[in-house]
Amino acid sequence: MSKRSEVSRITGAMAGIMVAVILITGSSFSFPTLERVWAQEEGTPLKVALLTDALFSDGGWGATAYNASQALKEKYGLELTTVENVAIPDIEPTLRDFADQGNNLIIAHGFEWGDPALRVGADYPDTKFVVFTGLTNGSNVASVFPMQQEGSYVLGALAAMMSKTGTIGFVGGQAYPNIINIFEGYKQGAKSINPDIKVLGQYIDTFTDPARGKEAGVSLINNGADFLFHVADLSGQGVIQAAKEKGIYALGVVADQHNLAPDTVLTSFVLDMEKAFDGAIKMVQNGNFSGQLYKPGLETAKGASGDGIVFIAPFHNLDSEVPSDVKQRLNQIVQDIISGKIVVPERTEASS
Amino acid sequence: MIDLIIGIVASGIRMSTPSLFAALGENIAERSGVLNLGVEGMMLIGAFAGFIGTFVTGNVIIGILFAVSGPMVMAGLMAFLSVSLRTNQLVAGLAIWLLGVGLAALLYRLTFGVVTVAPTVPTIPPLDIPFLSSIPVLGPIIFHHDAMIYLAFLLIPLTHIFLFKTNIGLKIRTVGENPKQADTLGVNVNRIRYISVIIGGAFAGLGGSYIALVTTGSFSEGIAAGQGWIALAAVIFGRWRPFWIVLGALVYGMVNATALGLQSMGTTIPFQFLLMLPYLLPIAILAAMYKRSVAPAALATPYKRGER
Repeated sequence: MSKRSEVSRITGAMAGIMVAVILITGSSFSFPTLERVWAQEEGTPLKVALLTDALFSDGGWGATAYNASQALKEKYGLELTTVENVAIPDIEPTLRDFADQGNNLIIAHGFEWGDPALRVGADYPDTKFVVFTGLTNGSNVASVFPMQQEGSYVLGALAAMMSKTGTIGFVGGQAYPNIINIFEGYKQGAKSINPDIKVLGQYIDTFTDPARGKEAGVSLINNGADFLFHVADLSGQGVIQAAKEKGIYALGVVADQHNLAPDTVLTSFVLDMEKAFDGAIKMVQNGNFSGQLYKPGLETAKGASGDGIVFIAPFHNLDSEVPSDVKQRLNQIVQDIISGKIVVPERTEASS
Repeated sequence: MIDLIIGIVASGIRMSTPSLFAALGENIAERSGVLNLGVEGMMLIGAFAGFIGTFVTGNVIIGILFAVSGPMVMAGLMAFLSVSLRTNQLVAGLAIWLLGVGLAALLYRLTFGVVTVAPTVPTIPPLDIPFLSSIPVLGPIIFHHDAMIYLAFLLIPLTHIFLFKTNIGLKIRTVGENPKQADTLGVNVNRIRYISVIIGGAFAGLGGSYIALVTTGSFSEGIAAGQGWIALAAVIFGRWRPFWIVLGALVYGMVNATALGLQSMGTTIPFQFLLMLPYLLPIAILAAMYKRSVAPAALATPYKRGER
């Protein structure tokens, strides 16, 4: 065998590997870490599993869910298992595994878990499934689809009131229906204040690449945006970084992201996951689980008496930067949404 | 409009910098005959080490030193596996990749735990080069960047000179083409390969730290986001020549930046298509270049003295 042909074979194989790898690196790969915590209480504690494709170290979507589940473990003495970073193709087998292990309740954290939960749920009638931000439901599968469009509507209105350029931006991780819904709410809120406002949008195809998120943010700023709102988890940290470096405001998501950049993050819309998971656990404990599609909406603040789980975070140190008439109008909008005077329609398909 | 194009090109340069660093280093390793597929893992370790070094000491220079040394240790391991133990380089490289991914994630979580607010460090700000940065168009594109990009620019000719004009560069290339002959001439093949692979690690560390210290000011799991693999592709694309490798890295960055830029402008092209471009175009170019690529003859071949 000649040396040349061997070399070209190696090069060929390498090129092949490269191509394959370039194709797969678009998606993150899985590193499941298992954590088992046995409840100390007597009797049989409720067996609950929290499963997600996100990371618990993401400082947002996954971290909030993890902390919520830990708080509830304390509160109810749950026998809790948490699994993160489940690859999308592994969602169904993972659900099946945890149903097999005899969990009473499986909290599937993410829109993509909806259909698999329905399929697995049919085979495990004794296990209850709750899909957070899902849109599917069956006899033992419930979904919580928070009316996040109400939260983003308020943020859109705020951005439109405070924008100097008349252009505001949005960065989404993926064009999932729940994220499109958030973007649509943002657009509607902004247009309710200023019908001529330009709302620019970006989908960047990743929740875990802050570098890409940052360049997406910079690109929106170059196009005139002076407010950046993100729903992109870790990638969104890059979006906030872009806003910070260019001296404009950013809007956070899921958790109060104020501390990430105190002079940049004007406010965030927050999801009270603990309240949502708590509701699910209570249903299972009381034996009145009902496989519905729950749509909790906006609240005035954390711990408010209503059943909403979406609220707008305080302005913190930027409070003095927001004119009082803006605050007044904003409060009015929140009140009107809660009372039903303003209805923000759910839109899971993009409008132009 | 011209401002938008300038913005896109400058963004493209920033987006290609991490893989450019890594590719220039990987080229040196491959020139010596060692194919190190672990670039992505080394970049992640570099990003983590750079971040933690800066976070703890508050000094970005020390951070970068951390970022360079962590991956050098990993590259040393790669060299030990592939040069001393003569294992299959593809397997060893993939092992280094997985080790880097897991280790960086583990160390980050051990240090910070599960927090809802990610710890951050100040990013390295852009540095205008006096006079040159005021040239229209070219100024904002090339001379309005951070110090690390200028370092990357500098390393392009330097690696070229290193490989093609110095004594050790000649040794590296000889070892990569014909280790037996190099050995007969008294060149210590294993030592040269160790040095080359470890230099590659240092470069990958620079690439990783660019992401953590310039772009984001934070670390997160998988933050390298495939840049290490782009670097490997850029080396093939560049046919193992530094100046061509730059082009390979730039194509990726530019297409990426253009995709983002077009979305911002609100084009009617479906965004899914734009998102595909950064992966599609390099594949297409790679396929077109394939016939002309001439790899170092001893690439991915372990050397054992006295064996035919």
